[in-house]
Amino acid sequence: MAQICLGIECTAHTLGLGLVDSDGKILADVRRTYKADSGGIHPRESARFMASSSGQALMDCFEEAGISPKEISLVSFSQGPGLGPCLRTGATLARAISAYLSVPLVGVNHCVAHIEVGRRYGGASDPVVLYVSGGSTQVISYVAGFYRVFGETEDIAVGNLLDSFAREAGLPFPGGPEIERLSSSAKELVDLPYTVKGMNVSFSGLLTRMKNLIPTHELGDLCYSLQETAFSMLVEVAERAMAFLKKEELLLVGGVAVNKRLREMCNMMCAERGASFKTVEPRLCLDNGVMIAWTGLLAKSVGDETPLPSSQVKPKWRVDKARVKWRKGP
Amino acid sequence: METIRKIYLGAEAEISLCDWLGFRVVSKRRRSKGYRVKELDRKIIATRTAHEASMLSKVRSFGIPTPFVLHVDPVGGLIVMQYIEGSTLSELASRERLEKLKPLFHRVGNHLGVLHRNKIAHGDPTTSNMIEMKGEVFMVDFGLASYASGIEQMGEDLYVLQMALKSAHHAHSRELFDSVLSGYAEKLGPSFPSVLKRLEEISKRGRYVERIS
Repeated sequence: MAQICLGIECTAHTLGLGLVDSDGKILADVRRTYKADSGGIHPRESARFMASSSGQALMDCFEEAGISPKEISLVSFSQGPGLGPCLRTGATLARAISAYLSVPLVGVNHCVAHIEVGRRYGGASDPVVLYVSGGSTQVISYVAGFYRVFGETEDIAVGNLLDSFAREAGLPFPGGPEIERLSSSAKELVDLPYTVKGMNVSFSGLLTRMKNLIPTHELGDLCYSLQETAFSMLVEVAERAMAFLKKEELLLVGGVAVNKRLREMCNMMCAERGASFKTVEPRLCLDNGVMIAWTGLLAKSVGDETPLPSSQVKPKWRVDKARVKWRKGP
Repeated sequence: METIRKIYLGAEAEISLCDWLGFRVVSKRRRSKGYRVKELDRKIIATRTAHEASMLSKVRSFGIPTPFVLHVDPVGGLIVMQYIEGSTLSELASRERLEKLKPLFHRVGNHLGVLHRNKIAHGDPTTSNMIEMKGEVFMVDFGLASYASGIEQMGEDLYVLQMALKSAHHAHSRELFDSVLSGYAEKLGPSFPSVLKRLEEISKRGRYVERIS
């Protein structure tokens, strides 16, 4: 009989609840997203929002799936990396449900979950992963038991770059979609810092330059130039990792993966190399409970559980420190 | 220019053995990328090509053997350079005895020490980017080289080499790296202990990973 897992995502601004069965069928996908009145995410405010909306969200989740809570056989939650207060809220919810229903608890690495949902629903098998979001920018691939990081940002994440620029330019949060929309009105490319070091990238100089250019340049041109420059850097390091690892598949995941231009560029790079490009529908690129549920099921399938005493959250849990027992081979 | 054979196809450039005005030469051509907008593509190719060509010559002025640059076309992304007819240290390390390899890796250490003393980091000093010809070690591929390098870049250079040795030449990696370090210390001077300390720190960072050979 198929097992059903409730996955709880709560690393930053989205409380995501997902119900998935062991065949990968998505039974429910409920989200509540915190929006700051001004500035970026306030961790404590976000956590408070999650706590107060979790009750109704949970009921909505089971109603959407049309099942009773008693039918689940597992609860998984994102144990890290993320904002401490948000993680603790999700973990508390997960522990309570696990204890109440007497079902096992599984702590999941948020980044691993992005990758696994990409493999399951994007049809990738052994890809080089370009993981791009508000908090992360990494080039990752599986080697011998772990998702290893071959390249990453040396300072801020690409989503952070987009959001910070958007805020300075008076655009709403999240910045990505608005920047993408304004890019289409661009007339010329503005010269910007392009910083690639081997398989690493750096965005802080680019952000500073962008902020300085706001008063003197057309916003459309700036948005367009920002996208072209930052995304070219990402695609370049992804390609270098593919050449280095001799892997013929690229998987694009994380919140910034919803950007159409970035998808198009990844696709072109892969086509030129004779490699294949994989990603998932935009909804599954964003933070969600489905990916946590699916990864919980994978972990459980090889006997991984997280007993209560070791269920404390890990705000700085790097993807390459999370053991991936369900994958075999070198 | 006539291509005799392709040597290597990387993510960024294609290396070929060519005939150029009757000379046997190596060409490195950076390929245009369809995913980049034209203006950006042209800028990246031209600046990197010019930068690499100038680095090859600059570095030789410090006494480090590099191939002579015969022709540069930044817009076309092309560098034509001397053909160094020899084996890479990667090839040698897998077939030669330790006694023969040690002086070569000592020499590599010398070269890296001189580079770093002159505030330049190689960026990708793997054993495939070092070629032995008549007892001398030539350094190639300065595409990722950078100026004004601090302790971090120096440590990264050593780390890249150490990793390359561990993954591809596991049996002697420790002895070979010790040879590198002795040659390196000879030339670098007083900052050696701090670079060594940084190397240890870099090794402990999660993002740098032991490759499984």
